[in-house]
Amino acid sequence: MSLDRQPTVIARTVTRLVVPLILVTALALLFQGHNLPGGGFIAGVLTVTAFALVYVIFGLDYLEAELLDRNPGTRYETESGIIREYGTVFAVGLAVAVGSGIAAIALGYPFLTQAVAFVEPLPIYHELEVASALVFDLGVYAVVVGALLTILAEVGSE
Amino acid sequence: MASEVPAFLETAVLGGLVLASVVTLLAGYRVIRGPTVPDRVVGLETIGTNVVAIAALFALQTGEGLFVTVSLVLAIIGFISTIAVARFITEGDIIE
Amino acid sequence: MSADLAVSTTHVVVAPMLAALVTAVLTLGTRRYDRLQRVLSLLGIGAYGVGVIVLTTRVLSGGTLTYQLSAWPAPFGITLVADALAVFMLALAALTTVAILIFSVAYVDEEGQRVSYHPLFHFMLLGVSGSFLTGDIFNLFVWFEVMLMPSYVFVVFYSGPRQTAAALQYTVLNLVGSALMLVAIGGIYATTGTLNMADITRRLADPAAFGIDPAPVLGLSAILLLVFALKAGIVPFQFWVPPAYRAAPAPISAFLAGVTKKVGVYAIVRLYFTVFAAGVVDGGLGLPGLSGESFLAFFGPVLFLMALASMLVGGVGAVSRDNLDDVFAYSSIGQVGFIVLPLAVVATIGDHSFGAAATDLQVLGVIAALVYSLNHAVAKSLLFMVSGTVFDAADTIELDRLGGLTTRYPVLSGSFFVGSLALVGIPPLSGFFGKLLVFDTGGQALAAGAPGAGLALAGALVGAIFTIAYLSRAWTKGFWGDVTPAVERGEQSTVLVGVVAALALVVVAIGVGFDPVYSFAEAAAEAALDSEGYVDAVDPEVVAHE
Repeated sequence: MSLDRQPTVIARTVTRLVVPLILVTALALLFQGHNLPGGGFIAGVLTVTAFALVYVIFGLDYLEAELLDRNPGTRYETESGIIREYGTVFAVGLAVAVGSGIAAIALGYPFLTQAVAFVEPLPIYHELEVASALVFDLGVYAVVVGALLTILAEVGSE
Repeated sequence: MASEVPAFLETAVLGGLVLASVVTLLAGYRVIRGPTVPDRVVGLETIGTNVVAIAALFALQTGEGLFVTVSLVLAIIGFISTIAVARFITEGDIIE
Repeated sequence: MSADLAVSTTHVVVAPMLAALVTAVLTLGTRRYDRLQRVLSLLGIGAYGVGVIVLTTRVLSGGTLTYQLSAWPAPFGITLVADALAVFMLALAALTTVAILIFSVAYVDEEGQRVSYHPLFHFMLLGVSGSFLTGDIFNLFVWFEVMLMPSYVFVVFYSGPRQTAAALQYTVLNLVGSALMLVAIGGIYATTGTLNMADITRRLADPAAFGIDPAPVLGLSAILLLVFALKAGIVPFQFWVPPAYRAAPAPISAFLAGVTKKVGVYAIVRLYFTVFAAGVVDGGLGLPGLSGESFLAFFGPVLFLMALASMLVGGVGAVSRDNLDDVFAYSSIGQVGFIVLPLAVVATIGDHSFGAAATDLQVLGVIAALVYSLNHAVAKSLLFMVSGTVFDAADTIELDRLGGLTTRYPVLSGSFFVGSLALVGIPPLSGFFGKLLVFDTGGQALAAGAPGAGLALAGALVGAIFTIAYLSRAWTKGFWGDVTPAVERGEQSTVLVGVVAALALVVVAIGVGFDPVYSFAEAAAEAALDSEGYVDAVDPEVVAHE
């Protein structure tokens, strides 16, 4: 990116502040998703919007060059580089979601059966709700993040 | 929940809801009339902000916490679309 | 409660869907190892076939099986219902897709297979199986989407301008259809207060007890019919069919024509003959030509006109096309008309005036539709794969540039001949019994004095003549005559010809050993018309209204 097309300092500073906020919101929605509004899908979408913001303000190569500290792959190469890793996130997420359903069959319950356990007493936190639906949600989250980021990176590099 | 709120706050929330709705309608006029693209975009942004306000006020009125989440998510998405559109107008390209 | 749930659960119901789903995930995960991916994909379709066979034998010997996903009881949870109709369609899908996948491995180039072919194929199969098995109308929508999304990718698979144009039209049309479907399902939920298909049936059968008004459901189900007609490619929603089938790779055209279309047919049979059949509008509709009070009496004439128009449009279109894929695509439109026609004929006689004979005739009509579906699934997949093999060998499927295929590729041409004869309906092939049953339905309806039965017979006759015309035209122009340079140059692939020949043998086998097929279809048709049995099998809990 040439220097004269750099976004303003305001835009860059605001992005630095807002991206962590978006990610925290996304995680909050992910963890409350099994019995409140939220869940893997919307958490995934919000996470991707955070990435989109980074892409818009800092450009496509910033993630790889600055955060992962490596040479960005060629943009039109779909078989390597970060786009391929997004694809892996998608595949792993799908495997986790399907696996969480099959685990129920292995335990003798119908496909996708979920359970919940309450862990207490915990210091400070007092009581923690552990729901197996979270595993499924995590899978959905990874699928959404992987798929949307693949689209974003592909379309962005056109 | 609503019964715990003092009476003047209820009136204020109702007033705010009406105000935000009217502003949304006015901004809608600007979106339709234009005449230039930035006019329309600013109109859309105003609508977005006001919908966030309506969601938040509605959360106050009904005491339903989930509408706060709705307004939060709407605000985030609105913010990002503002930036994307602004970049499109100034640079002609969103992501480089 | 959980203990006896675990005992009573029959996981075999979900087995075909799991086989497709797990294979899709595994092939997605092994994209970097071509051979492993292909082996997994083939093993997966094998597991799918085994799952369907086990499920079919269980259902045919032990009656309808149900499965509550997540152990939520009906009508709150997601119910899977494997009755004879569902397993008939699953068997049809399994039979066809096994051949199609083996064909694909040899046909689609390595790069194409590596990108996404196998995962998408299994996702499409998952969507198809889910649509057949689900007992929940909203889930039907979800499985339709699961089935359609891979098909969008497949239509644009070769990424040329023609494919992009076809895919754009196909995608937009189906998205509009899906939106309509969602609106209609939402309306049905708002009206009847449930999404479980068995529960809807029960409530429609006794609307007063549940405090619902069946009249809006009639309108909403009419919207749904439009959507299913779109998916099945029935006139007036047939125009997306030829471009999409031409754009997709040959094995996928076989999949779309053979299996995906049947999902639309299945949805029509399941929803209008099992679920909405229970509905009655007091006093009738008061529209001209639509006497009778049941939902079916309203849908019968609509389906009737659509079926007749499909046979004509498909026939006329296929006669005038100059390449194999287009001929087969238009032929699909016409053949779906043959599938829907017996349904339309027996739908109108559902009203009380025909007495006890009406039930037998309805069973016959549904059997005719199912047998014809099976015949079309196998024969049309066979023909599309013949077209793919010809393209693989001669690099063209334009009829002008083809000729003399019989001398150069006798086995391939023989398979085409068998497939065409099956579509035309020559004994002892599978198509003969399909056509016979369609005409039998029309004849018996005529004898019983059903309105329009004579027209149905005449329409079917014209459609049959068209079928003979366009297939013999393709045969004489493409397969007979002098060997053209394009045909001379080419080299046939043994695997492709082997798959095609094997499928041709299946067509013959279905015809020769028709008895078990008929009793299977009869069981399926009885299950389709047995609304009470369907409700009893699912046994949704009674929820107090008010």
